Amino acid sequence: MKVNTEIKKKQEDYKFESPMIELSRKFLKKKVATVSFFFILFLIILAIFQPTPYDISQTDYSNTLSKPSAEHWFGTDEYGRDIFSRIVYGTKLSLTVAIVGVTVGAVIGSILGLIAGYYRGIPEMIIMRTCDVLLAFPGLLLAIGIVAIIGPGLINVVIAIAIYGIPNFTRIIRSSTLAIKELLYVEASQSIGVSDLRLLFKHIFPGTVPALIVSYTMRLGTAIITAASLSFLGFGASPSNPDWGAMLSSGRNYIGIAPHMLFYPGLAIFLTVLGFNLLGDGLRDTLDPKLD
Amino acid sequence: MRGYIVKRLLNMIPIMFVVSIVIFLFIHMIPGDPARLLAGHQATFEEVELLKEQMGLNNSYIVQYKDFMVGMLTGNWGNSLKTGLPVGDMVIPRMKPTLILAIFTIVWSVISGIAIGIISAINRGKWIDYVVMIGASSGISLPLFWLGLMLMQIFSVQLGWFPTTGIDGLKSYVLPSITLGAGITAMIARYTRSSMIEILKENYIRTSRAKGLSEFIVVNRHALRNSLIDVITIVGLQFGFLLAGSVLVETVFAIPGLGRLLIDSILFRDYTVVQTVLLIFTFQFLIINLIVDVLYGVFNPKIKYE
Amino acid sequence: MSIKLLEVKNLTTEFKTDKKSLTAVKNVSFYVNQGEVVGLVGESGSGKSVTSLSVLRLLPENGYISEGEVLLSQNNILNLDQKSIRNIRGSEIAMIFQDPMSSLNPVIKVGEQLMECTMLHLKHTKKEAKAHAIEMIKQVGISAPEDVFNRYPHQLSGGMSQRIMIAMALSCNPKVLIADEPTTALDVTIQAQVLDLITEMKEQSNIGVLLITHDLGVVAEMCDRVIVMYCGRIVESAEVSCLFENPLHPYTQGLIASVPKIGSGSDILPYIKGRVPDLSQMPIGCKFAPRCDGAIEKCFIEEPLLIQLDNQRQCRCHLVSERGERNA
Repeated sequence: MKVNTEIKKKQEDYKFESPMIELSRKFLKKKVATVSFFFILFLIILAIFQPTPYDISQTDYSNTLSKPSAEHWFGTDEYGRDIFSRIVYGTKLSLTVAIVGVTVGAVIGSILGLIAGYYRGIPEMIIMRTCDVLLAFPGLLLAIGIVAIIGPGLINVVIAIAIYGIPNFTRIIRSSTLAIKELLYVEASQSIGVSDLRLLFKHIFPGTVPALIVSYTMRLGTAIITAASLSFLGFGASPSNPDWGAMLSSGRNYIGIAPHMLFYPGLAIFLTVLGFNLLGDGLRDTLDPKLD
Repeated sequence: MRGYIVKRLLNMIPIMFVVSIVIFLFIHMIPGDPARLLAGHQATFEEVELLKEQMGLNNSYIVQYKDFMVGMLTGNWGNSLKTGLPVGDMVIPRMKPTLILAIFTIVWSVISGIAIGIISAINRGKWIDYVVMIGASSGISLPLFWLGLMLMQIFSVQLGWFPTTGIDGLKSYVLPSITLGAGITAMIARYTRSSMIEILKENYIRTSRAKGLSEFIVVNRHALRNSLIDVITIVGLQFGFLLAGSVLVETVFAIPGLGRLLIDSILFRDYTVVQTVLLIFTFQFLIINLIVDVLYGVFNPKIKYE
Repeated sequence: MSIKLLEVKNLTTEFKTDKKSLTAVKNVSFYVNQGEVVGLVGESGSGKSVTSLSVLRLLPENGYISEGEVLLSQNNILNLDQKSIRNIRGSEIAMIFQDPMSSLNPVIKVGEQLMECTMLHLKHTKKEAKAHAIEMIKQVGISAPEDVFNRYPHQLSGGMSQRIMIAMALSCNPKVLIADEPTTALDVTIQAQVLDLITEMKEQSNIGVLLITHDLGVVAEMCDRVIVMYCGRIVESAEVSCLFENPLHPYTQGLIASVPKIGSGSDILPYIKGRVPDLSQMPIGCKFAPRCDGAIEKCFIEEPLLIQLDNQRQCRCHLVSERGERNA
């Protein structure tokens, strides 16, 4: 009997949990997603505290292209610089470029998506047709085009990532706005005369948040690959920067001589992108937004 | 069916028109003066002005656009600003490697992606399914230029099985094609898997089992035909990825294709070449979309072409 | 004495869930004779569809048969390997389903779907199979069979689809036809036509039919014997006329009472209060007790046994068995 009441009590406790706790419990059950969450957290800490054993631009011509060792975990590059330190610094660059670019794209895209989905009519048509045109170009080509116009450099890579993220967010937010608008409470608020702006941001926007979080996470992964690709092609960071893509680009010349120069920066890109993608998958399963 | 294809081809004309305007504006937004570039550093101001006049750069945008379009349509694509050669002579030989790479890649990656997806779906929850899912997530997250460099390091440099760079027979396409197709295979495998899992729950699958059909026929005849309808749309989207990816792969493996030409031309502001390559890319993209739409209809009897 | 074609003995089917196994069908036994239509009746969730899927071993992945036998002409088909059971599906025992529209493959022509069956089991060539398929389409009362042969399922109406399903099921001359709610998804006018067709086909080829339905009207019209199921258990079985004249189990009584009758004089249609309990939260005693008006204390503590009352009659109810004892 006693056991029984204990179980009952536990069940009652469970019922009073807030949705936030319930969601995190659901999320933590997914092992892969949890691991990737902590991995991303680890990367962020790395980016903030920069535990670099060497100065990233400290050259050492007596020790160039050396293999990974106890001294230089990931080896050294053609100027004898410590690759591990440069990769750690590169974490900061990559995450900053991706986060700033995607955030700007998400903000602008969400606003456009809310407008298109809420007001419909001509604004929707103009916004969505423009999105269709932008989305018709493969992502990387669009980014190359943008960088070709505004010139190379990391800042411009951020701008390119922001611009080509806009249509994606616009589309997703518009479709969830349309879905939420159909719900009863929005109609009810409308009928009692709540202002458009208040309705948009108080009632409709919160409903689009799950979809926003999921695609935001996924886009971060894409953005990191795009930034690295641009740098690799020579449109992004200058080769002297400890940017992962630029490191690969200069390491290319030493293929066969110093494969570690290629292996580690690429591995960093791969694991980071994988982390964001798996985290996005886990979030999608947990939050279950209706993405089209 | 034929009427539909003709209609779609006619529909491409206004789209190409809009795209040509976009490309024209895009080219003219790229900073830098092509005349100065062509004339060289030692050229005087007068020489540059003369060149500008000759190239029509002093005309209004409308006149320039008209000249550009007339040139495009009559096959007079102008001369490269970098080499001075007719653009056609530069572009046409570059098409072959890009096309071979694209066709090669799409064929193997679509077939293997679908096969892997099916195997994963019918073994759902078993270890082979987990291996496939981990592989697919990794494939999607792999930066393909890195994959290319790693493959090159192992198979060309260390094992010497394939040439490192450049084109030397069909063998040279193996590593680039694996590089380009890995992500596509992963995407298609993932999509096929989830589509198959849903379809295997359908009532008509139960019917075909109740008929006594073997599981092989149930999966490969009844389920696969339905899931191909879903998969084909994703395959269509992969072509965009293929175009963008070929730019990177051609850079990594030093393949003299259109993608590499585009990058080099943008870096050099060789805008006559850039605009031609972009128009070819767009045209290619539209044709592929048309093929995908037609295939979609072939697999889905509910679609009627009128 | 008629021949027993299909006999199910002590069938128990369970479903694996995250935590435990749930029993969907428990200890069910019945048989189908040649030329006979046996009805399997109950609300949704009573286990009647699971019973029929168990017979052909077509259960979903997490379902399994934990006990019992399914005898087809005296052979237990639960012991057969995959290949042998496939030889029985469609050729000895055929099945038609509730929703004909979704039961046909949308991307394969109707004719081809029909041909598959005979090419597999009767080893027909393509030509023979096509001729046979067209013949079958004609037999199920569709005019212009050649035209229908070349159509896709979405070009057929619901009634036509079910006719095609029946043609498909009967194309290899099975001994037993299992019809799982064959008319539920159809318009009322079409329902009668499809039921007539099943009766007609049964008489033509002298097969046994197991008809699964929740509609007592259909039972009254079609069946020779009827088995009433509740919560995966048989609660009553009888010949049709007996059952309607004198239903014994309170659940059967409730079902019959809730069929609307013209001129019954009452405006209020009686119904059975409450609902079928969830598989994971079964009552301890009689599964029907919480919804039963006459339930006594014993009903909540001890599950009643299925008592054989006379030759064709079984009932699982404490009230009935006690009344029987008193009378005796």
